[in-house]
Amino acid sequence: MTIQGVNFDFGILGPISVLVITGLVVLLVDLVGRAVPRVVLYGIGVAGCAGAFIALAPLYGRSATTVNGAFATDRFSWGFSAVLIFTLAVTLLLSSLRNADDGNSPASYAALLIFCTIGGLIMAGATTLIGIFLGIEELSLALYVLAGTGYPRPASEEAALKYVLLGSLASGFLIYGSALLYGSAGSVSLSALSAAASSLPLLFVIGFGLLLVGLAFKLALSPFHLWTPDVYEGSPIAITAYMTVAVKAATFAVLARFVYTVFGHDSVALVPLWLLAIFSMLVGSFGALRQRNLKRLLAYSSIAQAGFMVVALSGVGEYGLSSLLFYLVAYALMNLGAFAVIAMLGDGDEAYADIDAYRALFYRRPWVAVALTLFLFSLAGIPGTAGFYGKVLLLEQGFAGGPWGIALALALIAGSIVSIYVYFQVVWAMFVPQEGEQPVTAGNSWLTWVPVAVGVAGVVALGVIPQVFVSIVSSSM
Amino acid sequence: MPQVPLNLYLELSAVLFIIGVIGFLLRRNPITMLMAIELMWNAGNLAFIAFARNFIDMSGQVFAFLVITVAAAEAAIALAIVVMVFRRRENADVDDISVMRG
Repeated sequence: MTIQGVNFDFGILGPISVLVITGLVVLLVDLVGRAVPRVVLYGIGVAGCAGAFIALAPLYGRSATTVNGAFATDRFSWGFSAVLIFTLAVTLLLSSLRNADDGNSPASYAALLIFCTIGGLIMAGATTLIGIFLGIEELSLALYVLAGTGYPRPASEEAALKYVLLGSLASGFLIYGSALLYGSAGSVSLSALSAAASSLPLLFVIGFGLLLVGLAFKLALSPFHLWTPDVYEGSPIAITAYMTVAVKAATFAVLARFVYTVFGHDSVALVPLWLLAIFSMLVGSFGALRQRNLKRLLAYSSIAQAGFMVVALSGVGEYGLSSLLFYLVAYALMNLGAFAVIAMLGDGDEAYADIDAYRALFYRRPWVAVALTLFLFSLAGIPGTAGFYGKVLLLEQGFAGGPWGIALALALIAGSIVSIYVYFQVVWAMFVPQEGEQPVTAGNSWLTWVPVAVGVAGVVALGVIPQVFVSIVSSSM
Repeated sequence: MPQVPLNLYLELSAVLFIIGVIGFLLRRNPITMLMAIELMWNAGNLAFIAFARNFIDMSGQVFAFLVITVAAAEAAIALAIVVMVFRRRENADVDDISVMRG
């Protein structure tokens, strides 16, 4: 269909269209109905996710553009879009718990989450600087509000304020960097930038540096991670789970597209990215050592995990992208699973993020403890889990990628060793018997068993038969 | 009338951007910090429009319009969050509101 000289292919825009309609339906149902229960609203959202998956399925392995070449479905977008939609569904399930913070306005909460994900999908498919900026802002603006839905809990207010101030600062770097990149190439499309990338004029170098600062803020790469622990700890659990996975998935889609389309080979201009990654792996792993709050611990671990994922890009090789995607899928499963367990124990209550609540958990809730152990082992990279095979793939990329790749791979090994200790502390606390009074945990809600069960099944499947998934991932490209 | 060369526009935008960054780092009042951020965003706009005029290309202008639109949305959300914080403590100095440690 062509409108005013712009062509729209609603096959390619299908997942986005489905989610837009879902968001509007959620708002309308709340407007028309009286006191609609939030399970109904979130149920509509989850149904929308299923619809978006159905719209995404026929795009598997396809490569095409629409909106006059500004939006694409290709090897960069498909897998990342699938992870984003999956994350949205899990977040909606976790938000439906009895004590979950949704600002007493479930309809706008669900709609904001859905619009957030649309921003992520735009980022995954955008082929111009304009599209990337639009996607990042749509994702971020909705998340600033969602971080504060724990109001009037002071930590949630603080999280929202810190996130909006530092997020906008990051956007400032992003805009100015985009302006200079535009100036160096004379066009906002990424393919036009690759000409400038081969000769590296000063304008391009400064512009790329500023853009990288902006993206590193969003990815929480160290030293631009200072907001991360506070924002992740203060936000409601479901939103923290969403932020750790969806923001990283969408931003990595942008970063991968940028690195592969603009550079296409290992370039000197990418050295700052490798340094950021090495720094993140070490800061994230060591920072997690002294945390007493599981949300905060997972925040530091997510800083390290973002650093791990950069290793996949180090060789800018043929299999780098599929390694990145495999690790991202594994990370989404294990991280969302861990957050689902935290949410489940308190039925959405924030108090259950403290590590003391996990003492001797195995003797009170054996299956929950076993599931959390599996997720933490996978995050640590113990053999037999998804995280282990993901790290093997990343190391393969690193060791094939020249001196910087080898440095990255060594940092990955060092960071993993430290993080094994971090995760074992929690596992140890769960399995050592304890005398005296035990904290009370909430009853089982089947809604949280769904993400936990999917997480366990996924982590085991990716760990035991990884080749099947590697071939699924590589043939989506 | 002689045309203002591209370099002068870029120098001005760079100065505005740096003032914005310094303002953000030095000030502790969230409203002032937001003003500093606004300055950074608009420095980007100026650079975009200068380049667009130089290349005689529309996409830079479109980008600037988009930034202006998003800035309005962002200001609305940021001010709402600042008001939310102000309501309970009559003081929103970013050093004073911190309850989380580690």
